[in-house]
Amino acid sequence: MDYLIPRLLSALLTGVILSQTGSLIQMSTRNILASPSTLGFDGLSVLWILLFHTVLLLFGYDHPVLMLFLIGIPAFVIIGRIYSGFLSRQKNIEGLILIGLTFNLLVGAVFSLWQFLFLAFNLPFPVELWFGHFRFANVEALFILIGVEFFILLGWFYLKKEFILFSLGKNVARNLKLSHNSLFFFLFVAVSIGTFSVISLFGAFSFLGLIFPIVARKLWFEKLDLKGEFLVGAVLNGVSLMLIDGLCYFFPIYGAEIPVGLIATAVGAVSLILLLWKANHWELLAKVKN
Amino acid sequence: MLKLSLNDPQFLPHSGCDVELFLNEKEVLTIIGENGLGKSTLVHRFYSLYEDKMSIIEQTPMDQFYNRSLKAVKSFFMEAGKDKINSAFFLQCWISFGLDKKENRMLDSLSGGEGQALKLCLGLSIKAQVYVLDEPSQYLDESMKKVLSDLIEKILAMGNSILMVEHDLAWQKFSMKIVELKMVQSTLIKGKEWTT
Repeated sequence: MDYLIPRLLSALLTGVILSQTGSLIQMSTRNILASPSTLGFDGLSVLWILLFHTVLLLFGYDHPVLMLFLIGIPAFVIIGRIYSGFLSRQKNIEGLILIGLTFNLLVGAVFSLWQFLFLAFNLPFPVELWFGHFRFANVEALFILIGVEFFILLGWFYLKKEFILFSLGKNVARNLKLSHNSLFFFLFVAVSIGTFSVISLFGAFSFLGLIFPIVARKLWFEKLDLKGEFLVGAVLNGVSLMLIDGLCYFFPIYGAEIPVGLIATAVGAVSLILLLWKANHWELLAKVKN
Repeated sequence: MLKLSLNDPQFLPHSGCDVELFLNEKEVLTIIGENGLGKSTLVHRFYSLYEDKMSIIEQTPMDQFYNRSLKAVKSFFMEAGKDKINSAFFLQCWISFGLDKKENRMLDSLSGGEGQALKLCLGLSIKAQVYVLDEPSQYLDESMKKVLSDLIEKILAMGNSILMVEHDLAWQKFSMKIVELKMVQSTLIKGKEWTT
């Protein structure tokens, strides 16, 4: 139980953080294709961990996780700051998404090449980083996630009014003299740290940051709107990830545990396709009836 | 009197700009000129320069990300923006345009004119000295145009001014000052000016 409780809570918080960071990015860019993965945050985190892993192998260190965060978090705060300034000047978000996706492809290639070199020199390589799993979850990791979630929630409650006004449209927000800079600054720092923490602790959870917010929005957009998507929807996504992780833990295949990241992405992708198909189907029916 | 001045040799990719306008209190200044000249860009630049005094209603549709009901938009706007808007005037605009009878409608079901009416309600009720209206009568039917002209009169009566870009002659008659813009040697400059 000492192992299982931190593990399941870590899965829950990972789902909540991925859903919330995805929501923040999609709402601020007004594009449902924008997410930590499509804008290159995932790729940056993976690159960072690869570098860290290599340095660790060369020099050795007793507290890798602590070291990873001590150096990583300030670095990702700076990355978030630069990104927010860059994005607030962009008019065409599609171009930025294309750059992010290309960057992800580059990281994929670098990752494979790195792996090849490590195997060639017979060195240990963090292969599981690519799949996403909670096997190595512990209390330390859980506390890091709680800290990240606390930061996101604090920012949300502090800037809630700004988010609501911004969600009414860029023009309305600008007319109301809303400070885009502080909003974007918080947003991208939160997304950078959130993505970095999840990936460095448990691996790349692929497109969950893209799928989760859309699923939450499809479930809650009419009545509870932004608040429902950010709070209720994110918790539901977290619980789903936790349940899937529980299934992976209790039902291994021949003693081997299936990576929860892959399963959750597959389940999320199918749910999203069904939701979108259903929405499209009813829309088409309504048009025919009219 | 507010002096609106812009001198930028790289105003558009293909032209510069050297324009100076004067806007008095309770005055409507209409900018006219041929299509593609840079009128909207110019008023946007003025808005960027004098943002703290202005509220702008753009030509483009609202970039709504959430498909809310009109009722939700109304409550969010009134609640979150209450310090920065004139709530009584907002409700007056809302009722005048007949949006109170359509509050259960979702945003993606609004027609062009209804969407324009919503934009006008949100933009005109923000506390400002100058309201920048970029083709405000687009998509509006005749009754809504009448409502808009009444609302503009109320805004002027409150001591505010209006900077407008409009091609429709009917609205130009409504203006107190009309300024024509023209392009001379790749620079956008002020041409004729009429006072009515």
